[in-house]
Amino acid sequence: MGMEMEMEPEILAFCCNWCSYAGADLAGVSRFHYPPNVRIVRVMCSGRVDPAFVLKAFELGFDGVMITGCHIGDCHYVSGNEKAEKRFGMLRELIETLGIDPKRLRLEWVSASEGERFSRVVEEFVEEVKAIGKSEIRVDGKVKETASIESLVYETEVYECSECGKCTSICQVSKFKDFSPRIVVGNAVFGFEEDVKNSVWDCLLCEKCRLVCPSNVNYTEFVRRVRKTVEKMHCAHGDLFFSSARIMANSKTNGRLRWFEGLDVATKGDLLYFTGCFPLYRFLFKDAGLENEFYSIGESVSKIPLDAVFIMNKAGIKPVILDNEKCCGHDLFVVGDEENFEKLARANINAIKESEAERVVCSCAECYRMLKKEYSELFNFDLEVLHISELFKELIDEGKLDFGVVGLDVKGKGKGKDKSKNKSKQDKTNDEEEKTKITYHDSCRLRNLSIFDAPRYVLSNAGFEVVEMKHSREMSSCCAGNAWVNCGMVSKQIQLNLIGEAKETQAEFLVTSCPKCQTHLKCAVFGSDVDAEIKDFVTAIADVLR
Amino acid sequence: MKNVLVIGGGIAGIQASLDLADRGYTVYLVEKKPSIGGRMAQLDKTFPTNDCSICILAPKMLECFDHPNINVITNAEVVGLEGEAGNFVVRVLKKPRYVDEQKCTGCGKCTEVCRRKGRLPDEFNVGLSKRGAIYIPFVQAVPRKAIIDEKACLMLTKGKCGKQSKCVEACDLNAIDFEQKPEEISLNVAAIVVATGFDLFDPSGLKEYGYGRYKNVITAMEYERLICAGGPTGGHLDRPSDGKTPKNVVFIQCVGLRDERYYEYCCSVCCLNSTKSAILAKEHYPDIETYILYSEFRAVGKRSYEYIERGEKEYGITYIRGRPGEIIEKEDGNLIVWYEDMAERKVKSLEAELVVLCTAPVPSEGSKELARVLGIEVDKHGFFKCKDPVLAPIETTRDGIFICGYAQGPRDIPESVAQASATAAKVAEIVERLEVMA
Ligand SMILES: Cc1cc2nc3c(=O)[nH]c(=O)nc-3n(C[C@H](O)[C@H](O)[C@H](O)COP(=O)(O)OP(=O)(O)OC[C@H]3O[C@@H](n4cnc5c(N)ncnc54)[C@H](O)[C@@H]3O)c2cc1C
Ligand code: SF4
Ligand code: SF4
Ligand code: SF4
Ligand code: SF4
Ligand code: SF4
Repeated sequence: MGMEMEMEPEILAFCCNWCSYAGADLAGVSRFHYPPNVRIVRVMCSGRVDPAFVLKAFELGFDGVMITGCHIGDCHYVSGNEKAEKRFGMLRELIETLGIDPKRLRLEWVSASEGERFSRVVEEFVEEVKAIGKSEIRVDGKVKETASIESLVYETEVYECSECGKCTSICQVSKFKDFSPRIVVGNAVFGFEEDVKNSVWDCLLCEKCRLVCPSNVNYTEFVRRVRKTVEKMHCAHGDLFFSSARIMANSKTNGRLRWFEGLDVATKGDLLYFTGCFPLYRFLFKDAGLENEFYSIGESVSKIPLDAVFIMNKAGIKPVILDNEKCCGHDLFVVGDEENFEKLARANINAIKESEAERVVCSCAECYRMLKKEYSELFNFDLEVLHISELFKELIDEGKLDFGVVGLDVKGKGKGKDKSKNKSKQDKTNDEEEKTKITYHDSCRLRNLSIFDAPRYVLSNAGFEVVEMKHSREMSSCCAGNAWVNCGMVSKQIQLNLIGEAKETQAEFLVTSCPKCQTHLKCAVFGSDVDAEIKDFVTAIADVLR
Repeated sequence: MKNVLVIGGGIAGIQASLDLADRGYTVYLVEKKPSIGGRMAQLDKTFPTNDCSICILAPKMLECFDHPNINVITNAEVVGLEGEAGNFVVRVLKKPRYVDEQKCTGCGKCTEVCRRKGRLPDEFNVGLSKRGAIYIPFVQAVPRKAIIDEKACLMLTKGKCGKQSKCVEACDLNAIDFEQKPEEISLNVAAIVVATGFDLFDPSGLKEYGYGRYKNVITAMEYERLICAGGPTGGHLDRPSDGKTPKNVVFIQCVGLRDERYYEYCCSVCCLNSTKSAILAKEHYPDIETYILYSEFRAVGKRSYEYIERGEKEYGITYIRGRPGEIIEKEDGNLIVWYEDMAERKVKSLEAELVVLCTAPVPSEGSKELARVLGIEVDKHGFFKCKDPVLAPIETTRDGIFICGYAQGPRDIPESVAQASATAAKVAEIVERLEVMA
């Protein structure tokens, strides 16, 4: 590919208003020749170039992206370019894992007087990109599905609705805003297409309504299918997560093994650990270069897979990691981008098959759901898929995972209680004092696959006292941030409600098994005046073992 | 041969037995429980007349038991069937009572002293009160004889009850007999009537309503026992969590019914039953507020619509169309009920002090097994299948075997009685025809 003579790369350059754009302008005015392959986007400062912009450019098919700004020390906003520089390092690392040659991204400082320098760096960059070749990624955001709402009503049989209102009265969104799944269905049945299309993005797709519907109305599938027919929704964080998933769907990913340096992992074996994407987003919330509490969110969610492997190693397991694992596709699936979802799913399935694994374990609730349900239902994926809590439970029962917690029967079987009964009163109180009270949040994706007991079993074996929130197990709340599309006031209220329930239990911290729940809930906490600690299930267990 | 077997001693079975006996047939009435009476015996009042249920039923129960042509065999089940219409041989297993029915007078002394007194859930009061290992099913039980619960009695489970069994000490008539063994009875009958009625659905699977988790969420049958003067609270509506009289009661309709996850049919009685229950609440406590949250109101049949109108206008019951989606318990035991008010298209909540779930009456436990023994069929819900749903609703898929009452499908008491009489007439007609042919 790289040798093709005719190849003319398309380059996108972000130029800051004060230096580089002026520099580019000068290059033009001074009639310095530079290749016509460059499209320029003027931004006020190189610090304004969100990682999402860069990913979007690659998603749309640009072969190279250049960020230019004022020389260090000359920034018109004091330190914008320093932030750009920091971010550039992180971005190169990210795009490499997404399967994009990091050389396709370049950062250059060009001052207003350096017209010639501008034309030179562009020329150099074009040559360099030419040598790499055309990008294989080009995702158009066009709506491909043209099914009418009427046909979707028939296909998903939502006309079965008996108009009882159960869904609306359990829906968390309906409690804070004028929204009713029943009316969405009603509007669809009566043919008010626009009203339906306007409300499909209000739904969290948490599937709680489906759990209580007496008519088995497949409301969520209907909404998901309608989403396919409307203008693609953009997610919060500048579409970064969608871009990244779509890029992975169309590129050759690699580099996940590197995340696990210092831990025992394999490339072939019986048990495969599906890591999930969160380590990619280490820099999430810190890309602005601001030193604040949002920092810690990216850090804590990105270490979950490391903690998971750490625990498995402790139990004598060396899990298989796919160096070329891709996003499971959950978010694309729920927003109706089935084309790219299928690419991701098929690539993952092939890679898993090649590893010769017999069982797959997931720590991320959404990966678990996709592999367990959609991969098997849509693409005949037939391997056994476990949630990590199920694996840990198995290891505890086999005596391989030992927390050395006093007064607890490591073999489990719920005998912990009986034992303390036989003890003297004093021992008992000591035991009870030692126990850390925690509360466990059942994320939607685990709730709907009935993973309730295993996480609680593992947590109590690890020495925690699990106390329940008002909404738990089958009735658990949604973190209100599904696929990053719903962020807003309603979501914040739902999130703070959930945190409020957790606080009512007087637990020391809240445990969740979904990195997204953790992200959204922490975001709500940091943005409010409540204080609450939230930990991933895996991290909570790893911390006990450390 | 003019012998007929009736299986199930609820109102339907009783009525069919009486009608046949009065025509000169010899009836064997086999009842699974220690007393006949069925569900109607547990009800406080009956719609649409608000008669005292046991008051109108008890005389029929006694009449049935005392009828010279009826042999009531309680605590028994049908375990085998051979032959054909006109000449069936039925095997009935009579389980031991461990009390001699001939000697026991039902004085109740034994029940007062049993070492396990107050430890076991009382089935008649749907677990709202406790009984001992030896007990009399309920005051108006027929036959009113004591019975020992073989799974709970110390003597029967451990072989020892203190130095001497308390019940034996207490019984002046020497009625207690630990040596009783199960007994198989063989009956020769010309026809069989199945009237096994219904059982109650356990709503704890509907997590949205929290039954089993929230103390003040109860079922309609529990409500019947609470509001009944003969019930465990003497007719006081003491809510389970703290014994307080609720300021308001919310009735939720169609629980486990008209629900594809559980039972798709309409029970045909709960709409009227909740109206009855709410009226009873108002009669006991004029200031109480009552709400009925329903899907669609199904008040079919004679006087039904008028009954509901009375509930609304005369008693001030609030009817709201909207099936609640979730209930949340508060610290004080009150319940926040979330529902969508269909009339206003708004999500609303109500703070209820007591919630009553109108749960599904479902085919009797063991219906499938009984169908297997009898060689008949059940429908997809588990009710006995009739030969033709339109033109032969009381005949089963096997000649000589008939059905009536709730065992055939949802119906209220008047309908069960009418159907029982119809079945009796049909049985008589067919048996006579068989006789003539033979
Ligand atoms: C909460 C509630 C309130 C109600 N209120 C009213 C009301 O106010 N008015 C009204 O008209 N209707 C009311 N109904 C309906 C009424 O209870 C029924 O219509 C009526 O009980 C049906 O009578 P049945 O004889 O068919 O069944 P059941 O009353 O259920 O009797 C069946 C009998 O068969 C026995 N049996 C079961 N299986 C076997 C077996 N294998 N072998 C031997 N015996 C067996 C049972 O032990 C029982 O004694 C109410 C129902 C409910 C659930
Ligand atoms: S819960 Fe189901 S049947 Fe009831 S209104 Fe909603 S979609 Fe319709
Ligand atoms: S999926 Fe969740 S957010 Fe969407 S309508 Fe149902 S309950 Fe509401
Ligand atoms: S067994 Fe004896 S003591 Fe008990 S009720 Fe019968 S007669 Fe009375
Ligand atoms: S033997 Fe003992 S436990 Fe059994 S019924 Fe008599 S008193 Fe009760
Ligand atoms: S009778 Fe009323 S409450 Fe009962 S299932 Fe039918 S509609 Fe529902």
